[in-house]
Amino acid sequence: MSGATSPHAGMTRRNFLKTAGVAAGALGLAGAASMTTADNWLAPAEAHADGEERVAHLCHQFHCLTGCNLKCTIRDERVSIIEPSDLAEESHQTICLRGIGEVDHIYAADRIQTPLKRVGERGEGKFEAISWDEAIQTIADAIKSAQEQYGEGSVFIRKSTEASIDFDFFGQLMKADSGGNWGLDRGQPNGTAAAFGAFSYCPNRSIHEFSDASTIIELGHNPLESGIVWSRALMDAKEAGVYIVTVDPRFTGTASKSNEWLPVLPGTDAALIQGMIRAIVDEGWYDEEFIKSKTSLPYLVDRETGKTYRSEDVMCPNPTVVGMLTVGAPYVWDEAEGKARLYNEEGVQPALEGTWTINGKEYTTEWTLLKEWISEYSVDWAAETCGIAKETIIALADRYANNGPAIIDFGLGGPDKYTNADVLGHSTSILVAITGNYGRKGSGMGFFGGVGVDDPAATVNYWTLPEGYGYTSCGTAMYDMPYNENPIHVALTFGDAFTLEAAAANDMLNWVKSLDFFAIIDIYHSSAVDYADIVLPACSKFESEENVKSLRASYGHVMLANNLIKPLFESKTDLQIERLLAAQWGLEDTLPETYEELARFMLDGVEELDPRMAGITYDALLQQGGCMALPETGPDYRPDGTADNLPTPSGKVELYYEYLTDWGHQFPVYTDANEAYASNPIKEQYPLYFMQGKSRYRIHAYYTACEWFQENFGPYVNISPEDAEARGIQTGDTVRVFNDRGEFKCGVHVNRSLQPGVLFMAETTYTRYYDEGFLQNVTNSHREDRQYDMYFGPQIPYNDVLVQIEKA
Amino acid sequence: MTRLAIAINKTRCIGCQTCAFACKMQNNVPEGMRWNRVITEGCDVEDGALGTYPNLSRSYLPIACQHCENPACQRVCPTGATYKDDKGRVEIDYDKCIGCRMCMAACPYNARVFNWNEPVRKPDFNFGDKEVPVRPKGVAEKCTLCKERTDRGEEPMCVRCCPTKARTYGDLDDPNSEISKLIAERHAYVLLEEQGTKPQVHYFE
Repeated sequence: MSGATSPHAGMTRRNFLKTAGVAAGALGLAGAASMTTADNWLAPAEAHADGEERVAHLCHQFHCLTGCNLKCTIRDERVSIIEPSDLAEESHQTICLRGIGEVDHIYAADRIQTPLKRVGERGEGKFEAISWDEAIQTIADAIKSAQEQYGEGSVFIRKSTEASIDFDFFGQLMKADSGGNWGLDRGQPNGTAAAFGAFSYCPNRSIHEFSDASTIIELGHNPLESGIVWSRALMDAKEAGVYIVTVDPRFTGTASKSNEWLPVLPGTDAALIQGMIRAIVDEGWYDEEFIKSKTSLPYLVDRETGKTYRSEDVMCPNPTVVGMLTVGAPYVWDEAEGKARLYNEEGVQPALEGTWTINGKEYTTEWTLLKEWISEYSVDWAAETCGIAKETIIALADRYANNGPAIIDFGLGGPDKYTNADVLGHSTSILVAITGNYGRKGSGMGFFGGVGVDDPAATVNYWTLPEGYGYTSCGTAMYDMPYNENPIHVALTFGDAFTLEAAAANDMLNWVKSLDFFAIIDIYHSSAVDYADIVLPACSKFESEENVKSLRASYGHVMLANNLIKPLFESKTDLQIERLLAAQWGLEDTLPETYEELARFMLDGVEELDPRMAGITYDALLQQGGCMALPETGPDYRPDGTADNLPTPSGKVELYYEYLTDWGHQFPVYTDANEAYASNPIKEQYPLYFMQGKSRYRIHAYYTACEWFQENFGPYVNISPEDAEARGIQTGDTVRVFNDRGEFKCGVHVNRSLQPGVLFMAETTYTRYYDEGFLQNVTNSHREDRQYDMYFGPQIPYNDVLVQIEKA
Repeated sequence: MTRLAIAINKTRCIGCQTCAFACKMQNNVPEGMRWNRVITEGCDVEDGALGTYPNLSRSYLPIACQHCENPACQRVCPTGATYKDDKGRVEIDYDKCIGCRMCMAACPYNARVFNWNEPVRKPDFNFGDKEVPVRPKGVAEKCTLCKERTDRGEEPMCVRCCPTKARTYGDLDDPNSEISKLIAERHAYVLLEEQGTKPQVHYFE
């Protein structure tokens, strides 16, 4: 590089920082926005043809469930081009706008540049720059003081998925409370867990089998905007002629690419599925062979108690999914010998229906009980409840049951975010199992695209802390801390947990304000930053103090970030921030000293654990640019997931939820959502359903700061032309959305894609980009009691919300 | 002869805007400008729909310079700044551009943007391909079919980055090229055929 021709040759980062420091000093007290502005942080740019270039590689986002390897061209120490990596296996050389947008996002004005100390009221966003020493000392003092005064359980430390990179040491060193049950994205999994296994929402067959299906039902899933890169598999299926049905109140991108769009009323998806089950049972479209051989439906149940007839001597191969209890092997009625025998005895021919008296007790089969259960739900009822015509429900049931193999791909947004999502998950499990659409090519159920077995997994070592360190829990989930008494006095979050991982934001933020102390570590000035006492600037994934950074096993590859730029401004990597904090307790040596040490450790000796890792060493990775594929990675990778030996007690699909007997939910009893249901009397006041979901311009709030995306997108609510006209609302207006929990003001798009009566808004955007408030001010904090007994506990019902809207 | 072009499979286009940002990045396109846009056809809002609920439809249309065989922009350019190059691309010689914007009025595809002021870049350095010339105030600019990349034998950045592989790049004059075959087999069409501009960029469903 020729220093003379580069306009930036003299502008080192150190110089820049000095300049910024002077400016902040002159202002004395700076508002958050001016504190974090990056405007003109470099001298004006001119020709760049002779800039010195090098190439860096890293695994990008894993939070979109992809993990693309990115090739970054760094010129004059600035990330200038980001493109798909040519180091990845060819079919994995992918990127989407979120990867490309990083060219701006890395340098965005919303970057936190220096450690900050709050000088205004909490929530006001007034800060002054302080040194790292002072910031770390202040955090340590606050934690120590709380620990001394109230005990270790008084400290809350959580890594939100936004800024966290890959480890989570400091909170464990502090034996802090991490907020217990997450409450996110496990609504339907609460309903599928007991049937197919706790993690059955992660499909056991590849998304690339979409093309082998005859029918795909996208149940409240919009992969075209959420997991963008995965939509290639859906488009392949579309071009292969697979019949695609999207169930969604909103005409999403995915709906627009589908053969059929079923605009269910919000929160009623379970009624649609139950209507399909009824049609399948009535018409005899079920797969009797699969039901007998792969499901629990022949198991005998005591009519009076509702308990399964189990052996007292022979135990099931696996414990129960919920509660991990050992249970006896269930009996079936063997038609061959005319007596009850254990379900897995040699030569047993289980009866599917009937009633038998054994030892004076009356027993029947789960299948008989299932038929009795579904007899209470007519297709007419389903049609009326979900808003889809009876004929359409029957036709879909026919297509799903008789024109397989078929896949149900459910998102973990949309219908997952109502209080009846467990009912939906359980109903879906029944639909899948009675039609045998599981465990064979082109079939399956779950959230397709990234969480399942789409790519082979690598084996790496995980860094462990000395014995005795670990998170604790006070028994109250973070989302319930505003409502339940709890011992928390001091909080530290890596990234924004409080506005992203809770609804009813006024409640949550009032609780945050009531804490003795709150510090946040973030890359950007996210929504929660304004409530913090101390703010620490983390650097982006593209920055590191050393040559390497995170080692990640992702997308069928092992990826080592390397050749990165140095941390911008005064930011630091997560690892160095954790070490600085740990050093306040003399515990820094329990952590790796560098990312290199951590990466070397993660790969050390893995070849002996897993021969597939042969040759994937730290040095080989670096030599090859930082990305190596696992041996099986490629376009033809198709793991052969089956319906055998499932991680349920008996190893079969267990559809009768004995563990929910007290709730009467052995089979999924349809329940309205908590707030978003047709006959809710509060609709007089708040007549509109308020839904949120993914945008291509975000992963949750992440990328709010990207100025390129800001040209296309901002916080606006979508409304149907009918609802807009009734309120005199036009595209471009500012609107006020409100209910009893709160309100916010933002822009509006009048959009025909909306079902009349339904508002939609993409989650989420840093609050300062709203005219006032933000969308979580109106969302629902209800917990469904039934779900405390379920595997994943109660979930946050973000979509279970009614509001009113008016021109602001 | 060579006629480089792109064919876009609209069935596979999911409107994700990746191509639009890939173009902006590669070509150092200033704030407020795009050489390549993805529009929701017939709608005034992104991701809008046509029809009446529930009978709706939506299609996305990625649109940039169509690299016409008979470019309306070239015909009206008084200085010869806009020219058809030997690879069939429509290019601009920025040194010759006098900023009269006749080309912008003539282009039926609204493919060109103009540097009314000193270009502002966010981030405020020259990002993108270092071979791409930096355009001054007062010149028009547009998709070059990634001239710098295609000169090096690489495919345009929008093609490289498309997540669903909706874009195919190649030479229309090579009957054996993938693009030529796709255009023939998939009954590809051009935009505003009646204008007589003979676009080289093709679309198919």
